Amino acid sequence: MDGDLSKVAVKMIRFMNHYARDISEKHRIIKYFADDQYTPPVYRTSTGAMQPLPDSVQAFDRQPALAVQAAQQQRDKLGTSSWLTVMYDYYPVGYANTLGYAHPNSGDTMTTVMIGGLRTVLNGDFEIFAGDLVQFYW
Amino acid sequence: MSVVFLISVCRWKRLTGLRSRRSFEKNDFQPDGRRKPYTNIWLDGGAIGNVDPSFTVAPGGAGQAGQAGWDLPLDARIRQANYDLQYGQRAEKQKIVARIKPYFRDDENPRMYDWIRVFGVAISSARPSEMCDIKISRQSM
Repeated sequence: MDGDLSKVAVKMIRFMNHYARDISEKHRIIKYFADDQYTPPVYRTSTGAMQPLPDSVQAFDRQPALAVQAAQQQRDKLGTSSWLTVMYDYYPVGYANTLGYAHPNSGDTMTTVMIGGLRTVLNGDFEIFAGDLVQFYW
Repeated sequence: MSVVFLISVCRWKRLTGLRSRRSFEKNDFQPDGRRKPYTNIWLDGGAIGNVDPSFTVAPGGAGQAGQAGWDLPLDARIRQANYDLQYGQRAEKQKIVARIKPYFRDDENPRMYDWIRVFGVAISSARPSEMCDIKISRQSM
């Protein structure tokens, strides 16, 4: 999560978490990632008209395609399709109590995860009050 | 005396600077924890507008719009820098760890991936980057 390449993966997570409002929109976004075609930043106004935006607010940068592909497709890439195979549908359930890692021989992971009970943890960037529902965020 | 002052300034900048930021999703939310207003990116023919999630449409139109970032108060940045020391990360490298935030329901534009990430209830209040008591109860919300 600290290189230039992984910035695309970070943007994919942000894009999905913000714009997916139901399962169908989730699948449309996955198709958008798989198609991997650059589109300019555009949104729809309340009256239904499409409004273009400056490049500074685009979610994904323009990744120039190879010369052969550019001749065939005439479009730039998003750089998202190569990350799709490692983007998991995750369901966080709790906190890990022990260290867990893939064993070098078998790949098995042994760890203990706390999925119920009381625990004191570090709060994130937002003020929290007693009784609030708590979610994970990146 | 001046050398000590210079060292103190450098340490202060390191503690309160931008280096301690680790959550890449922070600016997609408002400072109170709610998601930024939804932007309709669904266009004709299945196309999707390539719009950054932290972007907000100003009432006057796109000409006044921008990516408004926000920063934590100084005390929260000092606490965050203090807790970041335990990770032992290399300089200029990010180690991203999932952290908690309050969940705010939005009936008009429900965010699916916010709802499925809810896993517990806070049983004490906490400022940003402060220890907080939570009750983990994913199985029986």
